[in-house]
Amino acid sequence: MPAPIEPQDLVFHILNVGFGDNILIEFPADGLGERSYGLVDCNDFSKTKCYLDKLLAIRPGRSKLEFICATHPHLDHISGIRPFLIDEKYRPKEFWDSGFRHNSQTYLRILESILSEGIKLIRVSSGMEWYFGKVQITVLAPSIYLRNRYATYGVDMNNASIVLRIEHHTEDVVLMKSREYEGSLSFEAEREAGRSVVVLAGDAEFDSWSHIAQEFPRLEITSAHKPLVKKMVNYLACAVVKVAHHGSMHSTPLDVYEKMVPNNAVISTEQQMSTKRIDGLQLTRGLFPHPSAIITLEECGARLLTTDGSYESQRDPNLAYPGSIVVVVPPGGKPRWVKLRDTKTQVPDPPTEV
Amino acid sequence: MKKSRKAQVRRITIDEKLSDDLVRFVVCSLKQGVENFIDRDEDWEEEREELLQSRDYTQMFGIMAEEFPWETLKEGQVFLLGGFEVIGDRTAPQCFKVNPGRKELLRIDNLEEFKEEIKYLYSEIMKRR
Repeated sequence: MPAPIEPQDLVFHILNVGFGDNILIEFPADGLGERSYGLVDCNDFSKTKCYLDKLLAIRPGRSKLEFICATHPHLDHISGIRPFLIDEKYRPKEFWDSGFRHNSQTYLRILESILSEGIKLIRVSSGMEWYFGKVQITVLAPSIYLRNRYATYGVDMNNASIVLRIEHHTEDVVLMKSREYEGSLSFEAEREAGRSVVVLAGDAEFDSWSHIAQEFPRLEITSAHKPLVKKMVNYLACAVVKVAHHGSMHSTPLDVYEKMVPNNAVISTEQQMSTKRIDGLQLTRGLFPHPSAIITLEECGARLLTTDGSYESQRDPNLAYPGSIVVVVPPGGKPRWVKLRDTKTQVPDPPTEV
Repeated sequence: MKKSRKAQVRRITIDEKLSDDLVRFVVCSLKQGVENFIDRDEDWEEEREELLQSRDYTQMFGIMAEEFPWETLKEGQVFLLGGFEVIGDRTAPQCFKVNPGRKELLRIDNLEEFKEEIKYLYSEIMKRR
């Protein structure tokens, strides 16, 4: 049963822009009742701008973006960013960059606009945090270790991706009292730990995930730890993940996803098929998402949603159409989602209830 | 006349190797009326993507495909391709000049001046913080 989107809800709008990423984050209303917005990657300026204008028309908000985060500088993540930087109405306060310098003109023009418009550039690395009211954003990647190897030791662009963990707390987390409780290692307990967490994974691949797993380990308690250690920590547990790299074969490691245990996995994509000939055998399969990523996500019990409807056309006929995906996270609550019905060139109406 | 010149010089960046057999190139053409150029953004039209499989590579990029086989392409490589000539040393060009009568190919991302340009730009932004 759909429920109205409340002013205190955090909302993610994962727009269907074909093969690429384009995620508008709608932060809860502030003391004046106004919402603010952040943009994580932008493959389509025109669609994003029109959608944002529609949002501003139905809920009070400020058009000037809090930030634009370019997870990494591949074209399908940055091609729509520059017009936002040079538009007085939307110009972001900050630009979050992975620090990986690409040679495309598109990226160079973004840098030139940041310089000419006086926008603050933040070179992001793991452990950094921002707070927007009760919403806490933590950077899971890139790790410092990978960032220091960009120029010299061949870290590729996908592994330079910014990965964000976004949690909507019930109260102001900086002022929150520490809670003492005992945890147990169970599927249900881990899911509960990530109840109001959304992970936006950019295009991170195995190298990046290995560092995330090291830097944000799942810490279990044993009887020997008690009573000093009272809490099981699993920083990777989440309710929703925007799957890395459009569900490619190198981006969805099973062991990491077993720690994330997402309820929902959203893949922003436009399927590409590949045919290989191996020893006389012809193999045809999808690359984005790849069957290995689908198996991993299904093994973890995640409900898959794709913006092109390619997965659903095989498994979930009721949702077998393309569309943007909207995820609503109440403070401390369980996310709800809806799939809109828009092709990559259409601008859907933002929902008022989910 | 100008229109044909515009189509004759392209800047090609290897954006992403999506699989062994699929690469996204980003390509822009030299702006109409530009005669002498270096790698400045005002010289170039907007970039567009070309998603290519290996079998289409030769047909699309001709001499580039011969000199830089599919297997050797790496993300971040940048090539100039088309009717132009290099003014000065090929390893440290002063500039490039449109010459529709020639067919030239030059990899530029490994040239010192090119590398310095983006480093300088990034450092200017970082310093300004």
